[in-house]
Parts: sequence; structure tokens; C-alpha cells
Amino acid sequence: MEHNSNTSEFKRDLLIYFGIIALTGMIVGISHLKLKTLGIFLIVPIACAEAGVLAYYFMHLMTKKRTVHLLLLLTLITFITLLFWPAWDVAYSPRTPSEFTTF
Amino acid sequence: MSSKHKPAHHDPHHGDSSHQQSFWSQYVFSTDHKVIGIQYLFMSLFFLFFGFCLMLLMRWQIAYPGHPLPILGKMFGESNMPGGVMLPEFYNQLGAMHGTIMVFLGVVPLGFAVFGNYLIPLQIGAKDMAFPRLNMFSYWSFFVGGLLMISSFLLPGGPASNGWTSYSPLSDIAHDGQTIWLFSMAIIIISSLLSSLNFITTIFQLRAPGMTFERLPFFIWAQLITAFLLLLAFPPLEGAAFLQLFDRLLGSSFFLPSGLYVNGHLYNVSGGGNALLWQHLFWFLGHPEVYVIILPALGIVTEIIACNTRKNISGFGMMRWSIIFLGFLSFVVWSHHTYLTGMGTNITAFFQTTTMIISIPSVIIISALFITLWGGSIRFNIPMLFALAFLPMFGFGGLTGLPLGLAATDIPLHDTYYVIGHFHYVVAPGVVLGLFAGIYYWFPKATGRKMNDVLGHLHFWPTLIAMNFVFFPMLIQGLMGLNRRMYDGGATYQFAHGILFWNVIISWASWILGLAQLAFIFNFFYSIFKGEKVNSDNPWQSATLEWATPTPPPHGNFSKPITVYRDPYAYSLEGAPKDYSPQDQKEI
Amino acid sequence: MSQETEFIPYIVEPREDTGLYNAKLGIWLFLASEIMLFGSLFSAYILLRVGSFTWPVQSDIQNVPIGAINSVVLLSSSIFFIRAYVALKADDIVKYKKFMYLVIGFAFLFLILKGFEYYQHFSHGEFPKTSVFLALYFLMTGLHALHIIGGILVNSYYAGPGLYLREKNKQWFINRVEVAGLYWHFVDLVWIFLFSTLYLL
Repeated sequence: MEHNSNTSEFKRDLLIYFGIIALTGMIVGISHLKLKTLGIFLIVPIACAEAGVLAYYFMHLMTKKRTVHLLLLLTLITFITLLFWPAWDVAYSPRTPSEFTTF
Repeated sequence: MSSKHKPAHHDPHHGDSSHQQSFWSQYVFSTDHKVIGIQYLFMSLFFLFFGFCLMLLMRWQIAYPGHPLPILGKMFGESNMPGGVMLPEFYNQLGAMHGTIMVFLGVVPLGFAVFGNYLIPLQIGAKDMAFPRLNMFSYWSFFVGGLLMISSFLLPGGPASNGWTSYSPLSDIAHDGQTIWLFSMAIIIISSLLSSLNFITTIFQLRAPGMTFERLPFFIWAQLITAFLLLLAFPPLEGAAFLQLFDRLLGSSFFLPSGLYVNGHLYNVSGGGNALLWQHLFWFLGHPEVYVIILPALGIVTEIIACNTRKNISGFGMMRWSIIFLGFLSFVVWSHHTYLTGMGTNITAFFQTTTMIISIPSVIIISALFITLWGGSIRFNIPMLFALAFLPMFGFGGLTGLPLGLAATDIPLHDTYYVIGHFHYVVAPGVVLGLFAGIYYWFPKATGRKMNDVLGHLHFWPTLIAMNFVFFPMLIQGLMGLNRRMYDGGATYQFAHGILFWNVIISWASWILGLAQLAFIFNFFYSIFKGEKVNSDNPWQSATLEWATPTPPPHGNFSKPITVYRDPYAYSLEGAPKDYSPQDQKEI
Repeated sequence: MSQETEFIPYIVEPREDTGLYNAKLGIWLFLASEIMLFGSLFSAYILLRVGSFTWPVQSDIQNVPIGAINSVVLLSSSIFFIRAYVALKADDIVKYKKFMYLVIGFAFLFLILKGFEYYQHFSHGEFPKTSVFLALYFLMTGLHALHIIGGILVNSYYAGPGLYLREKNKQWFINRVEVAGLYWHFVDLVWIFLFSTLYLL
């Protein structure tokens, strides 16, 4: 979990920095196209990729020990549970209107 | 170097720290986990008592609706009880605050914060928690949050009145007491989160050498899982509290649907919100919360049963796996609280299935404890009486939950007195008896004195019997269709007339229950000063590490470094000189 | 302070079987709870949006350019923090302080741009009570901004008055800064999701 002050680690961090900015630019562009549902399925995974890269390299997730990995896995599972019930609820609830939201 | 001089690197935390610390830093703003545990103890016992008194008052109205309360009735003012007759609004406030205070300020802090803070470092062989100052901050946040909650009684409109569940849209438009409720909850949640991360870090990082996870007492396992539940389940309620505060203070419509009419007029908000969103966010915490209530008591009872049967816990490994599995499952059952909200059959089927499955680990744990009794040399001391009573009471309460967990049978039972009977059975003759057991059991370690046995019996037997007379009839009333949260106990409903007489019986049983607690209150305070002194650091002859300290344990807990050599419940080992083999003792 | 590190182990050196020192485990636990906190708000967003008849075109209401600039600002402050940490470990306190000032400065810049955005919304009559989308926007970015402010306070302390702690125990101070850095990166991470969800979808 050390950053060397020498250039190789710094270069890598700089690459990641510009990479995330590039991805951000990409999703701004996709948003501009106003693609509705397809847009969501493009933008969200790319945002997850940005976040994943940040967590992995900047937060040194790759060097963390098993304890933290397990903890985060547990959190992720709980988080996904919380996030997907609304989708399921709306999809199967009899009260949902027949016209869905127009994005 | 003269032998009279202490070595230069003498640790000032040991022993004579009382000479250096002021009263304030030693007893008030202390970072010592034992002092903090005791601070939580006094606060949570006070809140438990306060919430209990709210219920005693409610029971008058339920048993004798519309009758003025003699003598005490005048005390509550004309806006609450004009002429001593309780107003419906006041009844609702009592009900909401009884639930909130008992759950969030009473039972959970008692089970988790009191016993956890006091015992976790002791049982794992550590000198203190991983973050002592954070621990102190947790306590004082809890204090502020609790005080704020109680202070809502002083508001002109009174405290929150929409149940401990605070459903929207009513909570969005209710009076100011609800806002204070939300702020208090936010503060209490923060206190809880910080405690959880402190406990988890401590259990992972500060175990003594030789203390592997398999050698941890079940109490620590229970506290670990509880801490994870609190850590991951409380934040959604914090989020929901923010959403509701926004609705109340900034006029947003998170929980207010379009076209809402209030008092006959179209409510002037943007609409577009969803009242069920609150329910789901609340119960996402709410269900793990009930396991937070249960697990510490399970841990306590396991410790007491192991020690007082002089046997290892049967199926200890199964119990560990069960409690881990229980923790996971508790996150995916919450919608059994929302069966009647018009969910689709698919989602209902999912939650029914998980709810049925979650009963399995609980049954395994209770069964393992029952089986442990078989062939044991049972010592019937006061803690053991409470622990033994816990088993069938909690088991029965759990079983009454099964019809509630199945959607079809939940339809007639939802929001009836059956639900109240169910959850009180698991909490009152269940968890609370377990917590009392813990107080009686560890009192000698904390004070050096035993609590009085005669008073213990005077507390135990009437409590056990009265609790059954309070909560069993509620199951009957619920099955007959009597709704909960009705300020007159159902008197206005024709169909309820045949079962209204139970209200009187329940109320008298609850007042007798109150009287029985006097024995405990007196015993507790009296024994601190005048209780019979114990002549050993380990009066119960237990094998776990908390008894390997001086009595009471000083700052730093252990007088010499600890190494752990064996499993926690090493009782009646073959070839051992005594019928218990302490964990830190090298020879068997 | 060495008395404290003798009293509680693994404040400075990691424990062998977990590979962590206490504060690092503590901060990851805290971040787990923060994931659940923001997660509940994202969950509310999903439910409310999917369940509603109409939803405004977010990129029309929002100032996407400023949001994108803020993304770069926060990401840059994250990189500066890494540089500060590297300098601290190399014992270069001057460089450490310089980069920390950049971190804090960029954090303030973020808040200023955010404040400008809020002002823009208010002057167009866009308040939390105007629509559910706006209510979500103000709550989620407001909560995030509170976390930024918290981070500014902590970072300022470690860049200024808190430096005396380094004299007492150097490795402990390095650990503290590392832990603060983890929190700071997390705040950046949340913003990535906030920007994507509230501006671009």
C-alpha cells in the first residue's frame, strides 16, 4: 500500500486520472445523444467502471487484505439487495400504470 | 536502581491512574470501555423504565376507556388528559413513544452497547476497545439523541404520535413532535454506527494471542453479527429520515403522492412521491433491527447456560454457522412487514420463502441450547432461572411469528393484537429476561458483590407469570380480529365486545408486572452498596476470560498478558482437576 | 502518545492475520455504512423515477458543463491527495503541505461551483418542493457537500494544527493521513455516481 515517489507509480496514477476524465467525457457525450433506456445501460456501467478504477488504484483495493475484501463483498451484496427491490417491486406490482415513464 | 522506584516506562494507565485523572475524566468523560458500558447501563435502564411507565398509563385507557384515571390523572394536564380522561391524541403519543423508546433507547442499547462495551474487550483478552475516544463520543451522542427524544414531550403539541414506524404520508404532515423524532433518530443512528465499527474492529484486531475465531465465546459472535447488522442496516433509515425531514421542512414530496387530499383540500405540493418508499426503507432497517434486539440476548443466555450446566454447548459449531446465516438472511426478509401494501405475488412469494427459511437458524440455536441442558449439572441460580425461562418464552414467541410470515395467514392478522402479542413475546419474556439474566450474572464482576437471591426470586417469578398474562391474551384478541393502536382498546367495535374483558385482565397483569420490577430496582441499587461480597474473582467458576481479571477490573483489565489455550466452554474436561478449565490457563 | 500505542496494539503496526492496522479497518467499515447511506438514496431515486408517469429531462434542467468541471475538480483533488501522501511518507513536509493546500483549495472550488449551481436553480424558481427530481438532487448533492465540508475540516487539521501529532508519532500520523485519504477518495467516488445519475441519465 505504498506509493513510490518515483515516476512509474506516478505515471500510472496520471494515466488513470486522464482515463477517468476521458470516460467522464464519454458519458457526457452519450448523455447528449439523449438515448433514453439505451443511454442508461451505457452510462451506468461506464460510471461503475470509473468508480471501480478509482477504488482499485487510488484506494489501493488491490493490496487490501482478505478482511476488507470480504467486508466490501458483504456490503455490495446488501447494497444490491437494497437497490433492486424497487425495480422488482415496480415490475411486479399490480398498481403500476400501464404506461411507463418516458425517459 | 532502588527497588522502591517504579521503572521509568511504567504504564500510567495501570492501577494508580485515579491519582492522575480528575473525577470528570475518570467517571464522566471516560474512554474506558467499562465506564462507558456502565454509563449506557444507567441510561438504558432509565429509558426502559420510562417506556414501561408510558405503557402502564396506556393500559388504563385500554382497560377503562373514557374513565378518568384516579389520583394521577390530573398530573398530565388539560391538553392531554382533561379531567383525567385520556385524549386519543395523547394515547397515540404514548404508543409511538413507548415503541420508539423501548426499541431504540432501551432494549438495543442495553443488549448491544451495555453488555458489548463492558464485555467484548474482557472476553477477547484486550485492554480496551480499538477506538476508546470514538467510544466515548458514541455514548455522548446517544445521550444527546435520547435526551432530545424525551424532550419532545415538552413541545406544545407533544411528541411524535404516528407509531414507532412513522409511516408516511401522515408523518410528513404531522405536528412538530415528528421533526424532533427524526432528528433524535438521526443522532442515535450515528451513535450506533460508530459503536458498531468500534466493536467490529476490536473483535477483529484486538483478540489476545491464541484467541482464534473458533475460540471466541458465542456472546462475541452474537455481538459481531449484531454490529454488522447495525452497520449496514441503519444507514437506509438515516437516509429515509433525511427524506422525511425534507418533506416536512422543505416541502418536498418524496413520500407524498400526487392528488393527496388533506382535511378535504388538495394538498399543495408537487406530488410524485411514493408513500411505500418510506415503508420499505424503514423495514429494510426494521427487520435487521429485531435481530439486533435478539442476538445479544442469545449470546448472554448461551454464556450463562454453558457455565451453569458445567458442559460445553452442544452444537456450538452449528450455532456459529447459524448466526452467520441468520445475519445474511435478515437483510432479505423485510417485506413480510409490507404484505398488505399491494405487492405482486412474485415478490410476496420471495419474501415468504426467505422468512420461512430464516426460522431455521433460530430454531437450530434454541434447540442447541435446549440440548445442552440434557445431562448437565444444572445450577439453578438466579441468572440461570432467567436464562432457562428465556428459552421456552423466546421459542414460543418465535413460533407465533410463523403465521405472520406467511402472506395468506398474515391477511387477517396484520395490524391486530396478534402482532403485538408476537413481538412482545420475543422481546419481553424473551430478550428482556435474557438481559436481566446478564445483569444478575455479571453484576459480581463489575461490583464485587452479588445481587440478593430472595429479591431475585421475588423479581423473577411474578415477572415470568405476569408477562404471560399480559401477552398471551393479546394473541387471542388478535385472532378474533382486534386491531392494534386503537385508543379505546376496541370498545367502539361491535365484533370486539366478546373479547374486551381481556383488556382488563391484561392491564392488571401489567400493573402487577410493574410492581415486580420494584424488587429488581431495589435489589440493583441496594446490592451496589450493601450486597453480599463475593470472595473470588470468578464466583460462578466460568471458563471465559472476563473472569480472569481482578474484581472490578481496573483500567487495562488484565494484570498480566493473556494467552488463550482452549475453547471457551471447557467445562468438565476429562482429566482436569476442576470442573472448569479457564481459557487462559495453560494446563487443562 | 506512545503510551496510547502501548496500551492499544495495532494502531501503528498492522496485525499479522488481518494485515491491517485498526484505523484502516475502521475507515473501511465506516465507508461500508456510507455506501449503504447513499445507496438508500439511490434506491429511492430508482423507485421514484421508475414509478412516476413523467420525469423531467435532467440534462435540460442541470448545468452539465459545471457538473463535468466539478468531476474534474474533485478527481484532481484526489490525485493531489495521493501526491501529498507520497510526499509525507518521503518526509518532505513542505511538499506535503503544498499538495494538501491544493486538495483543500480544490475542495473549496467544488463547493463554490456547487453553490453557484444551487443559486442558478433558486433564481429559476427550482426548489426541493418544485419536483421530486429536484428534491432528490438537492438532498443527494447536499448530503455529499456536507461530506466534502467534513473532509475539508479533517484535511485542514492534518495540514495545519494537527501536524504536531507527527512529532509525537510519525508512523501514526502517516496512518491517519492515509485513512483520511481513503475517506476523501470515497467522497470523489460518490460524486462520480451522483453526476452520472442526476445529470446525465
